[in-house]
Amino acid sequence: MRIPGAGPRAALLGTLAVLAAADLAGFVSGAEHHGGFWNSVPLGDLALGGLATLGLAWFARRFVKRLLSRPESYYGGGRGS
Amino acid sequence: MTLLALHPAFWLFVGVAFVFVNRQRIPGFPVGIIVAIGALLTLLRGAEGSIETTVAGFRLTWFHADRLSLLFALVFTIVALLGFLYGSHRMRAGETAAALVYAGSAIATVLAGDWITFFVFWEAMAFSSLALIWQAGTGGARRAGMRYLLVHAVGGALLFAGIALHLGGGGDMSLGPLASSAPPFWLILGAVAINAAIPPLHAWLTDAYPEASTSGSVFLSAFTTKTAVYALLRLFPGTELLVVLGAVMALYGVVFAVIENDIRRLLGYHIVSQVGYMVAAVGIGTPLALNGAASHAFSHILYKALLFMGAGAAIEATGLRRLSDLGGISRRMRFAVAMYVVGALSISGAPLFNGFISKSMIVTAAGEEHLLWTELLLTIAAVGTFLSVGLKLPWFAFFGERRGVAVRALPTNLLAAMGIAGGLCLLYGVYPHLLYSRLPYAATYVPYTLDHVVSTAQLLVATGFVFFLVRRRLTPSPGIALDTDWFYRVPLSRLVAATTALLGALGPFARTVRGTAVTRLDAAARRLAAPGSASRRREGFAFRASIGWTVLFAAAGAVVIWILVWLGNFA
Repeated sequence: MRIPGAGPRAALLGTLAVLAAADLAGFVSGAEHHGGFWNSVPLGDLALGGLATLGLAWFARRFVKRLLSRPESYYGGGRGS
Repeated sequence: MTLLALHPAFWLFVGVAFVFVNRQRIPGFPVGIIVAIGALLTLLRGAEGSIETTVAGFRLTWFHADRLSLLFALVFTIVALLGFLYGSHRMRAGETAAALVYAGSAIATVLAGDWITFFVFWEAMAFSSLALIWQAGTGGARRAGMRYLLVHAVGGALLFAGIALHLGGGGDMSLGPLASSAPPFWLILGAVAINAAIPPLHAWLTDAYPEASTSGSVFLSAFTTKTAVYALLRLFPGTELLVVLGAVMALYGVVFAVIENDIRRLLGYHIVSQVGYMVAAVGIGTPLALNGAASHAFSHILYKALLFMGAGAAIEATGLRRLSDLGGISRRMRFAVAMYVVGALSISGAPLFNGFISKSMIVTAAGEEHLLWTELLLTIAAVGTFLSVGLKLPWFAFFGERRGVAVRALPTNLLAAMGIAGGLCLLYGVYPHLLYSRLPYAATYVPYTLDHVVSTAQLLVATGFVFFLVRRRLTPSPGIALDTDWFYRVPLSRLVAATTALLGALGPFARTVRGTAVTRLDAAARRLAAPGSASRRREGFAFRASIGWTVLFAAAGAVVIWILVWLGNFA
């Protein structure tokens, strides 16, 4: 049986919601948190994951690729890669 | 027989002799698998201890087994067995022999107890890995092999000079941490940094590994960089510089991987990134961090071999290696793709997979030492790893838009090797004590806490969600990204061309000396390469000249280093 509206986007959103709820529950119950500041604020890991993905994609595509990419070869003229 | 009972590497070296003696008499005889099983049995029944022999006045400890060396020897032997199983349908005598020497040398290096044995097998590893790259038999493999030789010749010269200075200065023959103010420390660290592929000394890896055969790249992914991690653990624990280098390395690899189009080159950048975690952990230097480096090396060897097997499976099934050419092939190779996903979740550090139990140990060790920036960079690198290996590569190669690519059936041995490797990634992920009980340092760590699991899951799911939103912007396109190898590919090659022209004018003597060296080396390279390659015949003079000049440069570099050593010691 197919669930109406189900798909990758819905599955991801559902998982995000469950994880956010688990994180908030951990903070409300006073559970121990390790490591950096992103782990010691509610939903910090979700925010870091999303922002880091956007940042890496932006930096790699907009900066590194624009600066360093070449059509096919180090040498040009088909001398191989 | 005594040697076989004691030292696992000797099984592999005996296997080489068997390959050459029997070349065509027993076609398809799985010599690699058999000797790797023998080596594994030897290792599993072996105990800690040392064996020494005096040779020419030197007291050599050619077998030194402690918990650290046994851990690396065990995983090297396991991956050698998997590699021979994976490639048994296509590996010929030459490639099998090269892989046997390479794996045996790596095992012998980590079981070496003195500097001379360590150097001999370290160099044997370099030359056998070069032979393995050349076995692909393509023009690209030959050129990449020459660049590989150039870099590793410099590394070998640095190591030799460092060891000579260390021993010449009255240093201990047995392997152990070096004094950080002494020149041998920096020379040997430089040599190890080259093999560990620490940027900017890393480009040989992403250049050469994608050019090897599909089975060759499985072996290559396992030994050279991880032997360097072993050397760092043995010689440079707690060197603070490594914390910075490792954190930068972890991020450097993922940034290049995000824009990479060649699937094996993308995975090569992730070797750089993952070894960065280990390098940083060695630099942190606490027992927990050192255990993290050792256990992550163990995990990494298994899941990286699995990922290269998955990439090789796609290449064998389609004949294509670029993301921009692949797409929508998962339905025709379901098991191989499923195993690739196991490897991708492992490298991403997802709970229940072996990467989680080792990577989280390193990040936790950084946190415990209040190295906030290191912890943050390693966490961002984990996000980037999942983005490129766990999402981008499988999406565009296996699940994305169908391009009508023809997919051939994959051989059973290849799928069996992937199944065993995937099973091991899960086994160690679910039962971490199987690995933790073998770790060398006294530190306890519990990976499966609610906090660890939930925070890791949040990072990965958030990454998946954002990838889902921006995936069209990450669509790979044909082309290459320049890296630090540009310096020796372009300006250095122009310098060589100019020097060649200059030397050409010096008369027949110079031409004769150069011509003899070039001809002999070229003949050796041709014997190593697979027969019948048309591209090899077309290469002609340019290739011969590159061999000759690479060796001359390496020799000149060695002479310069020796002069510096001499001046340092005697002037």
